[in-house]
Amino acid sequence: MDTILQDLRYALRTLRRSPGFTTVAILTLALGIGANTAVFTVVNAVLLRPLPYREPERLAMVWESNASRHRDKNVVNPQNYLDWRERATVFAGLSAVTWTSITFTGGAPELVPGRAVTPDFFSVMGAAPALGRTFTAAEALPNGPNVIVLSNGLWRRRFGGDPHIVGQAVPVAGGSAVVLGVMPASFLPLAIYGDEEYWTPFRIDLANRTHAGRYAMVIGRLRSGASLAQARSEMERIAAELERDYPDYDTGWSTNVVSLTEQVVGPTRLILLVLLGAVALVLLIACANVANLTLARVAARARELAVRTALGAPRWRLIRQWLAESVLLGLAGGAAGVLLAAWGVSLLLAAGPPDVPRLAEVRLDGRVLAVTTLVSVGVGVVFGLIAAWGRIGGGENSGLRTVEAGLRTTAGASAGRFRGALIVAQVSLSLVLLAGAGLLLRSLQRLSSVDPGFDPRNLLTAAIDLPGATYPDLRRQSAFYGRLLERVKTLPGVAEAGTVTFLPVSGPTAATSFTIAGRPAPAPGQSPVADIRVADSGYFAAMRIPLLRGRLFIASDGPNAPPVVVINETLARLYWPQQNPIGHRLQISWTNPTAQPEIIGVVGNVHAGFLDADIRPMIYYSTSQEPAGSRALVVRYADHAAGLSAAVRTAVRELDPDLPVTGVASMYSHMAESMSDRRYPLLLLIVFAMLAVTLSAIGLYGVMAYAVGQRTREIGVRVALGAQAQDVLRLVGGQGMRLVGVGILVGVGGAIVATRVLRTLLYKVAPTDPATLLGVSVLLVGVALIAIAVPLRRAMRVDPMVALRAE
Amino acid sequence: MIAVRDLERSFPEGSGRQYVLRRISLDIAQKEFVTIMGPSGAGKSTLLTILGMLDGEWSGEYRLLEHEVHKLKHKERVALGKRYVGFVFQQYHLIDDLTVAENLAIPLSYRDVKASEREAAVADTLDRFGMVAKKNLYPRQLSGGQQQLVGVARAVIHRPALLLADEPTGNLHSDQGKEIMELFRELNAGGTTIVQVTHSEENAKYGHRVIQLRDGWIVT
Repeated sequence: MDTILQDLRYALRTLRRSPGFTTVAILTLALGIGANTAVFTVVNAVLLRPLPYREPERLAMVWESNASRHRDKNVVNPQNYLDWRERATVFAGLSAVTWTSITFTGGAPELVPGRAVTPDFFSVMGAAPALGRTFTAAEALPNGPNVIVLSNGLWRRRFGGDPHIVGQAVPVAGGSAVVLGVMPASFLPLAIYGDEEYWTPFRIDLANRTHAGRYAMVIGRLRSGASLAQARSEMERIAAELERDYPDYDTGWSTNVVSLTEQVVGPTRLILLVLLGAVALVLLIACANVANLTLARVAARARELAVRTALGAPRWRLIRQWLAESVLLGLAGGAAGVLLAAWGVSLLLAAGPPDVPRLAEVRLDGRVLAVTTLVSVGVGVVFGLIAAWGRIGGGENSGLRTVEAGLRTTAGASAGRFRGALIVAQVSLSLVLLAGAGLLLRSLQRLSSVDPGFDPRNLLTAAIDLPGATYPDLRRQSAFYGRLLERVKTLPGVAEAGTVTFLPVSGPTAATSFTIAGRPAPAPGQSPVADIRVADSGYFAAMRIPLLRGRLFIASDGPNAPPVVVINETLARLYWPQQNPIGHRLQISWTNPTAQPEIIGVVGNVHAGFLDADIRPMIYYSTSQEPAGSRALVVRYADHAAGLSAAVRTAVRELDPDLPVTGVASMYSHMAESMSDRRYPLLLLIVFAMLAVTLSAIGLYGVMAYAVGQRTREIGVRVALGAQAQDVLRLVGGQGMRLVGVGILVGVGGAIVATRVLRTLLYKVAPTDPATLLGVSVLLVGVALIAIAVPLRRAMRVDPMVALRAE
Repeated sequence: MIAVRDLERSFPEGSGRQYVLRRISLDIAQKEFVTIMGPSGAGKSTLLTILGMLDGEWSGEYRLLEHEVHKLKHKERVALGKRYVGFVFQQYHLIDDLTVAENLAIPLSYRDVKASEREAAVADTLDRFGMVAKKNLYPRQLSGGQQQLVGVARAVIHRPALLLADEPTGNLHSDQGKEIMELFRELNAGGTTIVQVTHSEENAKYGHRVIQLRDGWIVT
């Protein structure tokens, strides 16, 4: 034991006496370990830590699915949910949830997202309120009282953590809501497809079992001992029964049961694992750098090793001595890395990860520190073993002979080759990272150049959600938006303005099935599906969506006029190829399935969901004929419309001071938001790739500087014999660039294999895209040239007289 | 103590081999002080490394005390060397980052001597070599003579039966060299067998006899 302490003491002293080496090694390791710790901290919180609910492994989401519509997680029809609840035996509880929002008034109005949930939601989640209680079944009946359960966050933020809040009626738009309870801080909202900060009763009419619309989520708690497979099997059986019971509504529909954990973290798993892979490569490159430093250091300390051998040191003692130093270095790098990671985690979170769940739970915990310690020790052991392998394992002849040989050739050919191999590895790993970043960059470029179907320049958007309590019907909604548009259109610099229920490029939104009047009815479940928007004519004008046939909505298309719709080009082409759809009628499963609105116009296609998705059929209702309290306002302005955002807010406030305006942003930023799932990994991959390239460049510089130092005499002799500057350039530069060349070749091979995992994140770019691979290779060559420039300059300036005299 | 018969050492060179030692046969008795001399490249240091068990790639026979070294495996040779042999180098080869006391402790540490015994042996040696006041100094804080004194003390701290010295005064001026050689004489008188390699006729006089090497052959 005391010899181990002796080794550690000596290691500490040796490291202190080489502050340059120690600092560079610790910093390099800190960068590698820090990046890994930061990303692992997020991975740990999001992927590895169990969800913060009681027995989370028993929680599952039940979705409807429809193979012919390519929907594997479709929202659920509430009546189907009731049937599931009655027939399923595998669940201890099954609750339905749907999206809602409330505008809190009595101060600055604030639109807060929440969920309407069936009363058993809290027992299914295994959670109890910290204050008060949750809903009773009676409170969830239609026309029940306006009651609300607050999340801990909302209670603190909006109500200052008032301990007497329970039982109080808090002001909301159009009235008030009685607070029944407050959930504990430990109960994290599920936040599936949007935030939630409160819960109200989901009022399902148990008496009226007609099927109308799919708009709920269902979450269940499996009975103790029941498996997910059993749940899938039973739910599929029930879905088949419902298909027979309700062929008009449920034909083609089945169920899809997924664990809650998979539901919450599944979509982000790939991105997080890609990032973890990327930082692992950075750590490998950092390891290679420190390994190179270590090798040079071992060479410099060959005399000491030889003396120790001659004095009787067993090989394992030399290895242990070296391991003591390298493990200490690894631990110091790990400690510095944890500090960097604490900063890095806040950067990762500040960079705005798209829809990554559970970010509130991200923190450096015991598991992260344990893994970092293990990685640090592991990294240290790797260096120690590299040193042992490279130099200490020299056998019995390495001792006195090496000592007495004058130690001029400590950097043997094998050590040189090994250092070269490390550079090749660094360059190739950097190329893999650069290729990944390059492919994502090209995808984003291609995606950005997709024609969205409208002109996004000079467009301001804002979201307004009229509360149902104060704007319950079409008349009052139309009146509000009519007056708002009048005001907005008169604002300075405004050219056009309009409203629509959902902006383009907003992900999956409203869609429904339809049939064409006068044509044979499709078999049950075979009806075509179209996206649905409610818009006014000003919307098409403001967006510059071209009218291709017919006309847009006009004033006479009022609430009492015959119903009309506008369709997009895709719908027209699919169902009236080479024909004119104007005047035909559709039967649409929307608010009035019996009405048969007439097609009055065909407009150009717009990417409604995603820029990278195929354009689907679209039906536009008129805001004069269909109620739509929640709308997006689009305003086209002249080049210079300073203060327009504030003017729009003022216009809304003047009409209704209790109405919050959200999402005020340019159309470009709305579109950029839709690409954040690609931009976030791209941003981080670029950062990690740059880190990798920088570390590799430092490594290359180190190796070249060392090589020039070793070859000074040779270069001096060559110059003395008549070598010109370009000969030296070829000699030394060729050595470095050969390593880079081999590294690039190996890296291209590696990239072709590794970038396959990015396939789902790419858009119209193959993982083997030659232009990207060529581009990043050229970039690496450029960086390499910069890295070897200084040693090269030193080599070209070798004075033969000085070099030879030094020998 | 040492009996060597037909010992040869060669290195591969091109398609053949280059011989450094040719058919060396010699005997060295216990408590003898032998000097090996010869021009550079004669094979003196190579012979010393073989006698000290640091080189095992030779042919022939070598007996040290009752041990037939040529029949031993590598590990056994190393163990034998650790038990019986101490080395003194021309360049001193102290470990720069260790104090005088720590340098002295190294050979004992590698022989798994208990910490308490190690400390006692170091204290005893410091006292014996008159270096108590310098025990906490680093090699760079010592003169060349003082460094070699530490080198010799380190070589004998584990009380080896055989002390091998390769040009022990090569880097010292004459007064310091004389001091070291007097120390060798003292150690030899105390029972340590010494084999030294030197170019110095003066130093050779401290020994009992001289073995001359030329081109790998013993010439006397």
